Amino acid sequence: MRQDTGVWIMDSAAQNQAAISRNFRAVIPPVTPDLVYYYDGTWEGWLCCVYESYMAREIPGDVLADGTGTKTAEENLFYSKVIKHDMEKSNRVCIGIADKIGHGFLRILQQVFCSCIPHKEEQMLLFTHKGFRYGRGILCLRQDPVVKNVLKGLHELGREIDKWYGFVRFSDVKGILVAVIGAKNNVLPFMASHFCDRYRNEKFMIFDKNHNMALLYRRGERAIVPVEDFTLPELSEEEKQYRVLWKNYYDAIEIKPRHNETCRRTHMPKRYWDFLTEMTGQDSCVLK
Amino acid sequence: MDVLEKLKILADAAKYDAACTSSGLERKGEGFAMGSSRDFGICHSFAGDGRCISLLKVLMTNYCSFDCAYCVNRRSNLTRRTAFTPRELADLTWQFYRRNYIEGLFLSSAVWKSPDYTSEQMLKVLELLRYEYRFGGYIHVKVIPGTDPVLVERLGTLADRISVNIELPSSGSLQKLAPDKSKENILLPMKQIQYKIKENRQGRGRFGGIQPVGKQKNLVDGAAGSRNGFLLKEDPLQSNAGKAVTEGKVLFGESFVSPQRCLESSNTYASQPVDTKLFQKPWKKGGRTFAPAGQSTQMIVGASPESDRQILQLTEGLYHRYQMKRVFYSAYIPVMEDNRLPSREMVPPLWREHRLYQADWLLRFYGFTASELLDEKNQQLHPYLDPKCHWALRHPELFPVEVNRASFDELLRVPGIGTESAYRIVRARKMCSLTWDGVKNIGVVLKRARYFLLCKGRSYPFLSRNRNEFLLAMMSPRERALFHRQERNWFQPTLFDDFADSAGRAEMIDLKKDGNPWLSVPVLSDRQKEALLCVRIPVFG
Repeated sequence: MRQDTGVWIMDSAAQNQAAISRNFRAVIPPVTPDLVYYYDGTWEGWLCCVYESYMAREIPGDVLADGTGTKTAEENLFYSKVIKHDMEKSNRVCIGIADKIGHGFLRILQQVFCSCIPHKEEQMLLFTHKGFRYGRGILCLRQDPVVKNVLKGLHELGREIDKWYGFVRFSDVKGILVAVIGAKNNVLPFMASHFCDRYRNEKFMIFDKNHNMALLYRRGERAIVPVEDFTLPELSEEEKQYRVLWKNYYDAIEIKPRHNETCRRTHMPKRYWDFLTEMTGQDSCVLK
Repeated sequence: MDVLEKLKILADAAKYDAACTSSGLERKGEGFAMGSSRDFGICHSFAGDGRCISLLKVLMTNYCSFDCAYCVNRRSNLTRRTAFTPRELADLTWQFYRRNYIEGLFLSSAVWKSPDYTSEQMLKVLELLRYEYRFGGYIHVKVIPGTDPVLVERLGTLADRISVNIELPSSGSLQKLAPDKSKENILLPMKQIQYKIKENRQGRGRFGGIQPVGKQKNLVDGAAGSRNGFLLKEDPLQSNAGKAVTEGKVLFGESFVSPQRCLESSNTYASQPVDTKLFQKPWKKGGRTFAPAGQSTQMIVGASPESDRQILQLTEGLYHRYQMKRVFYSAYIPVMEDNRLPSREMVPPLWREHRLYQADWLLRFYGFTASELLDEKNQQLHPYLDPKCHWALRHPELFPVEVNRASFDELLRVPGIGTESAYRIVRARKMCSLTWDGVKNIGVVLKRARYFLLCKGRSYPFLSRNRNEFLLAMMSPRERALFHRQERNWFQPTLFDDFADSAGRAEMIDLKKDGNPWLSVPVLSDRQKEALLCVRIPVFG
């Protein structure tokens, strides 16, 4: 038919090319269990691992963060590669993912990177390979164990963020609000917008003692900075008084005949109690 | 008396109010004023009874001139009385909010001097918070029955959610237990709030306003439907909403919104074009949205003799006709001896409250109607089976459903599948058909659902049709514990083992052979028979 005419074929060559690339199914290389990638623990570093994995057409048995970046290949029994931090490569991967799979996918990867599921780098690498293979529909494919794991990490991060939205307790220290939290996942980047929006008239700091990071805010400016250590200074009389008020409110609001310890612990697990002024020891909250 | 003492007394008096939610409203902060509201709701702590503490829930005062039998604050009860000054309460809210202790304020009150006087006091707190402190957090305010409509409107303009307690599920009980309150005093403000919300949303160009359940009826239909039982026989606002609202003092009282603008917004009923831009930014020129998080109500369960069926029908009516966001139930906790009330030794009907909430969820999110859940024969919710499971067992003709083909609504009606699971199934099968392993992997809990599902035409592999195992699957551990505890006097706690023994082996169930095996087991008590009469074990495939 029309395909017989040379003109049509010439014109459609570009179209065909586009169709091929659209329908192109990336091949997922087999996993090499003995291979280990070391990277510097940063997001960009992990993107470079994706680059390396693509270029070498291999999937390592594990991807490990090595904060010092000094590890050499000889130190390990396994066949290992040290992936260098390279902004150019990481940008390329970033654009590639956003382009071929979607921005939503990239955002999910970033969030999972901040979660604390075991072997998250390895799982995310497999997830990315599958993403290139199946497109963004991969997010529906929860049956797949890799997708299931990754989305579970996402879910846990979300849950913890929700908890900390409520459980952060500020103390007024000379007009600055200060709070200490201890999060399992790296939640600070995702909490920033909520707290900065809510306390826009205040100066505040939220210190995550598990990750040694702090969120700082002051009238329209915010930053997440590494902080070595921080202890709460001596509390003012006024601050102590509000803690006493809160503690007493907390005790008064319970309906005693309906006491239900299991329910409380389900919603407010004990690991949060150290950071809640109403649950910590009585000494700071006793009546005068 | 200092603030600490007051807080202890007034929080203690407020704790029997069930509602403490802050969800349903997304509002960003504005300028350099503190406060925002999140639509998913944030729980800031959990009290010893496991209930969420989201808002600072206090009474304005517990001085009361009413004498409601079920209430701790009634005037005949000897208790310490006090009242917050508006400044104290506003200050307390502000300081707690700054420290992220709370999500906002839940302000209720006993009736001090008169409903109007009390409402004025509450209004002062709200004005201080909103205008002086520029507080942007969540505020839930209770309307005292009998308050002047002008005050109700002003409260609603400043609060995010506004609620009138319906208190008891029928007007007869209300007359008996709360002689100072009347159904008109309760339902009139409800209707007023509903119209005000509707009017306000229309004025803002967002037609329809809140969408509580299923199909939204339009204003006139909703009003006409209120001629029923407990609901008002003669509702002065219902005949012609627009007319009544514009003529009455509701709009031309001392409103924060200018009368001119109110007139414009109420005139939308007459389909006049309105400059909607004026109404779009709630904090700015157009005035605030009226009760942006809608209205809710609460009733006490167990203090009066109404059946679950009556309560659910009332609830459904409230959702449809009054466009409630939520209806809360509060199990009656005996606080005082009174011959009008159940005895002091009565155990609070917490289990019944739990069942009612389950049924309430089915009404709001699962597309059930009250008449489907309970009918003439079944007046009470089943004690040992949750309402959805009970419904499914009464309708074996609808099951099993095929996972790969059933619609979202059909999936929602399968016991053990909730909104999240149904959503995941529908999404997952877009990519490829689901197998039983796939269903498990996407996170659907199959303990109950496996009896009601088919996957690619096959039932769950090695699905046990043993009656004991089936019943174990249908009940949660708590329900089984309850079953054993309540029947201990008649029966050994090893109920299910006994069934196995009575037949000499693990009995295989086949409904086609013995229609209702329960009646043939002699050791069953009447109560158990009655409760489990409906349990039919499905046999599929």
